[in-house]
Amino acid sequence: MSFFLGHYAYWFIIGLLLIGFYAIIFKRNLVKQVIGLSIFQTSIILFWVASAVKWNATVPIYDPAFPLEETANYINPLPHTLMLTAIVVGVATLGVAFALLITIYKHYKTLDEEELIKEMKRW
Amino acid sequence: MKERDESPIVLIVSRILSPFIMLFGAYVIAHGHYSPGGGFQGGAMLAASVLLVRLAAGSRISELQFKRAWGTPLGIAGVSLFFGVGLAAVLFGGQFLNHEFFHLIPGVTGPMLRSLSILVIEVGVGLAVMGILVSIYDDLLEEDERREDL
Amino acid sequence: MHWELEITLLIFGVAAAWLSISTRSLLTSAVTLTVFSFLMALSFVTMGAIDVGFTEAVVGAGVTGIFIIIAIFKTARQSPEKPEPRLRAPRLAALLLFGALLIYGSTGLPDRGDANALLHRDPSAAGTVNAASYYIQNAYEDAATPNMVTVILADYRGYDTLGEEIVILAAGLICFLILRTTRERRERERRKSDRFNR
Repeated sequence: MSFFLGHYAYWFIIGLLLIGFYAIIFKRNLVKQVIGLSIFQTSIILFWVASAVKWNATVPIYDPAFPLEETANYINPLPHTLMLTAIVVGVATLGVAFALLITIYKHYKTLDEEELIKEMKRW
Repeated sequence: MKERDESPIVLIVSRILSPFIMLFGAYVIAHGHYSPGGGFQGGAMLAASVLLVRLAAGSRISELQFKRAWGTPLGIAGVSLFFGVGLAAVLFGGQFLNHEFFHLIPGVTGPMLRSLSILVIEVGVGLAVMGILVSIYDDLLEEDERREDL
Repeated sequence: MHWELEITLLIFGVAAAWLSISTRSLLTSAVTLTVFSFLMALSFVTMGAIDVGFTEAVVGAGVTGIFIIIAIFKTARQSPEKPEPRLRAPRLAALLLFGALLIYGSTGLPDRGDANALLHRDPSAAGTVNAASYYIQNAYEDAATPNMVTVILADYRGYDTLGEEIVILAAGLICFLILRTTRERRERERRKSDRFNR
């Protein structure tokens, strides 16, 4: 039971990673692939946040009721900081991906992967 | 976007709501020292308040609130503000981004000085995130808006 | 951290993620991705990462949804039901291998929530002071700011944040350069298409 409590979040994260990876390699529509990429990224963020947890600890904002000397009182703030910036960078790079998709659609009038490869070979 | 129906209710509600979202975004940036929040969240909320009017009212009305040419300069200004805080520490004889040397305001030293420079950095981050998100939105919608003008 | 709440949110999150990649309409897909982002934001807050949850709720659920819907409106709205791509077997093998490797790896990870895990332990594996413990103990004294995440973001790890800012700025400029066309180029393209149509 304690093994289950310590590891169940990892299995959900693996499920989300597999869903994202499935969309990237199996779907033919490029927008679907980008959505899969977004799910993949969110699950990696979830992994960092999930591994920062401590049982019976509080959020990383200083509260005089919890002494700072005992670090087990506060959840590890370092992964939170790293993932905070990663989310915003993720949305900016998603914008770049959609800019590329719109340009591709303007040129080839399709977003289907295999049709795109065929069109590209013809030119 | 194409075939927009002008609904007065949506228009008025979004125009009334937008300043309040903007105010809350500014509060989130300024209060990030004491509660969850900070530059990234507040900047995204400021961008959301601009995007709300853009989505509801179209480009002609939202140009009055935030011009489409402002996005990229605002982003560059935010990053320069962040970089300037780091560089100021170097000019006062410390290391890059070492806030204890950021002596722009006389009489403030030690922890309070670092707290103050964190606030300046958060404002820079917020401006940059707001400007860049709005400018990405404008770029993605570029062609349609032009066709309306023709 | 409450494991019953967490499990509920994660089950709904997995369901929303699966729905968003398996529906045919891309608009449904965008909306369910937004639902997925909100559920993830809630589970971040349940795990105690309130700053990350706030960011995910504002950015992931708000702005990402708008971007995806714009991209869909500018391109094709449906993703037509095409036959699955060629080379089905090797792709399935890659997927299964990836999953099996991850599950094998996850059994070797330390228990979540254990304050003595390698990530949280105070002299760290190398025998030095653990960075996270140092930040927890000194953030309030050093910067007079209760929120440790803010102090790490802007002070201890300012270089990281500056780098991320530059990445965001670069992404915005790339969008600008790819999509924003000059007036002359549009004129040239229109003339070319007119000639082509005649």
